[in-house]
Amino acid sequence: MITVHLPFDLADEFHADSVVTVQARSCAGILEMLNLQYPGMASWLAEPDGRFRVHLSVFVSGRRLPTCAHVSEEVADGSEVWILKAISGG
Amino acid sequence: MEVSKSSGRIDTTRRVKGCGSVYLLVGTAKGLFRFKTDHREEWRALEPVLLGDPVYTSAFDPKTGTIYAGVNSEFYGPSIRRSLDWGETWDTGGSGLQYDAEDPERVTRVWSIRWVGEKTLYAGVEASGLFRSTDGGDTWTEVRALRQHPTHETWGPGYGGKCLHTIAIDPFLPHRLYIACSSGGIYRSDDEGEHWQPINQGIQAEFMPEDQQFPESGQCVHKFWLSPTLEGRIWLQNHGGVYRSDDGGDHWVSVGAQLPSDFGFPIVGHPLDPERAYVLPLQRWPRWSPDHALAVYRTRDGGRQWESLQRGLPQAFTGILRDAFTGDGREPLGLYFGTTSGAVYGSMDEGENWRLLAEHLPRIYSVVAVEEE
Repeated sequence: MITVHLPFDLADEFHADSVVTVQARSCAGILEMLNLQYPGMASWLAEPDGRFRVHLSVFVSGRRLPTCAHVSEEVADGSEVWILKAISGG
Repeated sequence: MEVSKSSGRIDTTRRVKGCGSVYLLVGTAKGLFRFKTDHREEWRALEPVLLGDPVYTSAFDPKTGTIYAGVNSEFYGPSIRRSLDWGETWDTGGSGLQYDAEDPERVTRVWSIRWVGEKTLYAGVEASGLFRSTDGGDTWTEVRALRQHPTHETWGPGYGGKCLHTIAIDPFLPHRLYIACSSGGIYRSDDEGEHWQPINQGIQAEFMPEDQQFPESGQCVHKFWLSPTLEGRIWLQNHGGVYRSDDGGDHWVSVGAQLPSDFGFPIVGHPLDPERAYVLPLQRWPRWSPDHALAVYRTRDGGRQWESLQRGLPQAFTGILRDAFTGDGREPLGLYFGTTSGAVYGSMDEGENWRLLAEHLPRIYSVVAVEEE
């Protein structure tokens, strides 16, 4: 299982828990599972070309993925994934 | 209302004056601000909603009481969200509001939402494109023929982005659809979006070289307004120039020469009198009112003459964006606009007198008046 931490406002909008557990092998799998549970959530997190939105920071087991990382990034079982709003805005 | 086919005018004599509450939906850089009035005397501010996100536009479906808001989150992207309780609560929007993965363009913002009837809506987006929903916004599908038009390559981004900002359905010819994008120009479809033609002949593109200022497309049309009472009448505020068409955009007449500046963003027509229109002239740069005197200009004779309406409006270093000016459709007509410095002004007497309805809001992108039945 993978533990996913969602940004609090995203969780709020979708009436989701801010920490969810999913069965997946990649970020794409995580988004797929999130979208099943919370329809539409995947498109809030990633662009149609499969890249995370530019102002999101994604950490997998403590490692920050590059900005706009592709969701094909593998995620090992037992990982903790943090999806955070990046330092942006004004 | 009834359409008289012989004259091309809609009979408005039996139009009922509004008697319900009026809501003003003010879309800003940091959320949607709502104001409500019963008799247009006292305005009450409701709790702002959709906080933190830019709200570029909103729309209302009077049949279901649904408010639609174009929310352009910098973090989570664009969405068209819906509320069934006057904005108190919102869903997360429908699906499909994006271009294909292999498309070189992306949908980055929602600029325009037009409710057509029953469950059909259109949405204009950045990068300029048009979407349609036939299920009340649950799912969206691109109207592909528009971006497939050969002139698409002439479209480009203006200062605000490459956006499709205006959508109108012809009240006399329901299959006829108009859109405008900046830059790109105004286009018309006579078959609900299957085929399109640019209708920019006579509209100047002043930012082009001198010998190329009247191209087929590529103009920076800032806003247009389709008359609901006179067939073919369109008012258009261009990036330089105010125009009127009497034949559905086949020809345009320049009518802005008498204004202190023919540059501006919004234009609003009178819902009952097709000869009347209102603009908010701005200096070309910076985008402020000429001489810093905030003023609405009105024509009552099809654009031949314009008069300044500024009673109650201040001196200000501020501008008005393309969707931040609207009317409420009541008699006498109420007019409302919001400024880039966060003030909302209203007139309940067709622009003769203005008063401040709200101030110190974030930058205002859109003002929409909605009437509760």
